Order: sequence, then C-alpha cells, then structure tokens
Amino acid sequence: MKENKHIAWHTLAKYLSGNAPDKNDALLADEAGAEELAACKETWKILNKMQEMEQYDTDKAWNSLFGRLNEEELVSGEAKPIKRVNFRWSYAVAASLVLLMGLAGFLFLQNLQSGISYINNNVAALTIFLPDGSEVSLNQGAEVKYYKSFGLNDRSISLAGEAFFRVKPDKNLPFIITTQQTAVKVLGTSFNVKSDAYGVEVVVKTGRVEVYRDKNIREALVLNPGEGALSSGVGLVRYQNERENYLAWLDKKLVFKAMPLPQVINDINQAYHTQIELGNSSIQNLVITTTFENNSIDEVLESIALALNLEVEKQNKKYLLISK
Amino acid sequence: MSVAIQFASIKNGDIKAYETLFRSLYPALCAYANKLLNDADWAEEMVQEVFYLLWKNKTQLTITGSLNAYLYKAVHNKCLHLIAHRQVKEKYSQHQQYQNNEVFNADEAMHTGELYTVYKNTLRTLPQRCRQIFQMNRNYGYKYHEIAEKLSISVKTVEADMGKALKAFRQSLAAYNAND
Repeated sequence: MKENKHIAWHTLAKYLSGNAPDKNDALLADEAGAEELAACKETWKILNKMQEMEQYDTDKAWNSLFGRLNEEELVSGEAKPIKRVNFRWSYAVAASLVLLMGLAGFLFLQNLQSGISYINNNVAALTIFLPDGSEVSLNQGAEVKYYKSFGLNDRSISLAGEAFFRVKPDKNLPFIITTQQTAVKVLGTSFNVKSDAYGVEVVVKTGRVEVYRDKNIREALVLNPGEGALSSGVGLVRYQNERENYLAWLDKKLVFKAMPLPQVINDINQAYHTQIELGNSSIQNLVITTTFENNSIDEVLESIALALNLEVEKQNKKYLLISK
Repeated sequence: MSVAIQFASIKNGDIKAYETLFRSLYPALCAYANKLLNDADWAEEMVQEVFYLLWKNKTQLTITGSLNAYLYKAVHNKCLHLIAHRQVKEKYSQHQQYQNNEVFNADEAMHTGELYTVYKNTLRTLPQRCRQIFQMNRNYGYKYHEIAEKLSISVKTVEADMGKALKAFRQSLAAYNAND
C-alpha cells in the first residue's frame, strides 16, 4: 500500500457507510484515487462479512461443546478440572407446577431446570465463562452451579467457597449470586466472594454491589470499590477493606507494608495453599516491607528468609521458618 | 497468522490444543455452514457436531494434510447431508440449486477464518471511542448524526473516528495480504 499520498479516510468512510449522499464513485475516485477507492471498497466488503460472523458466540459454543464431552466422560485425566453434574428441583415442586402450566410447560421447565456445576479440585485457580460472557475464577475447592434458565429473567448462580467474579454489564438481567445465607446482586462489576462455615465475605474491586442476607432485600447494603461486607450469624456488617492481598489466590500478587511476620505467613498460606509455620516465637515480632508478583512459593520464602536472616526448613508439604 | 494445531496433539488428548483450534475456527466455519444452509442455528449445530466427532473419534481417525482443510470438508459434508435429508424442509427447495453448484473451496474458507482473526485483532487495537462509534455504525446501523446525538459529540468527531477505523482496517488487511 502506498503511504506517500494523503488519503482522506474520513471522506471515504463517510461515503462507504452511506452517510454522504452528495458523493458518488467518480467524485471519490477523483479525491482519493481510483485504486485506493477500489481497495477501500474491498475492505468494506470484508468488514461486512466479518460483522456477520460476530453473531457466532465462540465462548458459549465452547462451553456447550465442552459440557457435552465432559458429560460423556470423553475428557479424561489431568485435563479435567471441571465436573459437570445434573441436578433438579424436587419433583414435588415440579408436580405442583404441572397443574398450573400443563405438560408442555412442564417439559420446558424440566429442560430449564437441568443444571451445570463446576468444581475446582486443583490448587490453581479455574476460570470459567458463563453463557452471558461473565467470568468466574474459582479458588481451590470452590463450586458454582447454575440452571439452564440462566439469562432468561435474571442471571442466577449459586456459590460455595471462594470465587472472583467479572460480571458483564446488563441492566435488564441482574446478576445474582446466592450462598447458603447471603445473596449478592450486581449489574456489572468485579468482586470477590468467599463463603465458608463462618459466614460470607464480599469485597468489591470495581463497580457497585448490593449484598443482602437471607434473601431479605430490606437488609441490603450497597458496597463501593474498596469496601467489603461480612455476613455472619450476627448480621451484615460493612467495612473498609484494608487487606491488600485478598485477591492473591488469583493474581499471585502480594504486597506487604511493614507487616508483622505472622500476618505475612497467613497471607502467603492463603495465596499458595501452603502450610507455613513459624519455628520460634522470637521471630513473631519481625516486620517486612516487600512485594511479590507471580513468584513461586520457594522464591517468596527464600526472599523473606534472606531479608530477615531466617532459615527455611521444608518438611513434605510443610515449611518451617526458624531463626538462624 | 493462522493457528497451526497438529492433529497429533489432539490425537494425544491435548484438550488445550483442541480448544485453541475450536476457538480459532468456530466463527469462520459457522459462516461457511450458514452459506450452505442459510440457517445460522443449524450452522452452529453442524460445526459443533464436527468438532464433537473429531474429539470422540480422534484415536480412530487418520488425517493426512491440513487439519483446517479436513474440518472445512467435514462441515461441508455435514451440511450437504443435512440438506439431503430434508431436515431443513422449508429451506430445501431454494437451496437445491445452490447445493449442486457449490464447489468446495477450502482455501477460500480458511482465508475467511484468518481474516476474522485480523479483523478481531484490529478492532481490539482501536481506541475505545473509535471502536464504539465504528460498532454503532456497522453493527447496529446508526447514522452519523444519531451517533453524535447519543454520545453527545459532534458529527465531525464521528466522521474522524470512522475514518480512523477505516484506515486501521485497510492497513491491517493490506499487511495481511502482503504476508500471505
């Protein structure tokens, strides 16, 4: 392509997109050159074809294909971090609905009720794409479930364990995450949810998130970036999140600012799923300021040991930090 | 430019290689199937079926030559099979003629897949507002003055950004053709 001539791209684009009714081929050929006009027409033709291809949703198709392969147990061995199971509502509920809806409705509903479930059994985070293009990263042991009706009236998904969500904005389809006792409703944002035996913790990274308890919307809190909420037996409490490393399990980024060693070890254990312990109580008062990004656990511990003049002892899966 | 996934890695059960292959070819194969079937839903169905069978039968299959060419041929056959069995009844009559004249052209079809990658990558590199304006015009059919109104910007800005987008696509496609 010749670069020497000044080409009026905006004029060509305006003409090709049908926004310049006062122009015609002859005029444009004069302005931009016949060769360039022909090339741009060809480009435009290709663009039209490409835009037609955008209707095919590759993520959705891949999820559906992978689900089918998994269901037929055609994906085996180590490459199978995902487990897909079917689950249904109780037939009692279904039966009462049959009375209301008739058989056709029942068959439709039964199809919508079959669900998809993902469990991450590995140490490494597992990221899955939902049918709407939203992403969920599952920490070790986390599980999400959703029904085929996902995306019909809303986007409902249930969670056990810890996961980070990146939700595609959609005002008409609220994204609702339910855990055992708390529901989180969002319109499009990113945030971390951790549910365990003690309660549920939500920390917001971007956007605004609504959290409510026991499906009781009147008790709702609206969280802004940097805020967290803890839902436990005693209620729903808002707090300012000061734990910089709450996402380290996912991004392996650790930031320590004059942090006492026991807390440092706690953060590392959560990020790497390790068991590190302090050998002697005399080192508990040590503090450290440093950052790590995408380092291996051995690199992290070596660096800390070097800075604080400690020794690392490795015993099976456990690590012990002791003073020299 | 194109993803060179070897059938051997899929035969060995490399699901990642299989996923990469699927993602790189899916839209192009669907467009190709849709050309034969004139039904986007069925087109997607056929392409997924071909990929499903590829994985399911990977150990028994022998593929000599290009894996891409094999997939296009398989989609082509699946579609003709579907038409022959009159499963797309209402569409059948109008496509009977077309079917007989359609000569399989794997090169052209593969070319489409590579162009789509160029298109997507170029789209990704456009500045955000430029991309938004371009998509509003091309994907949703908004006129220049409607875009200007919706985004509270001047028509001149819309014109400039549309020109910027055209230039970017024209140049990346020219670069692709030069390397081909």
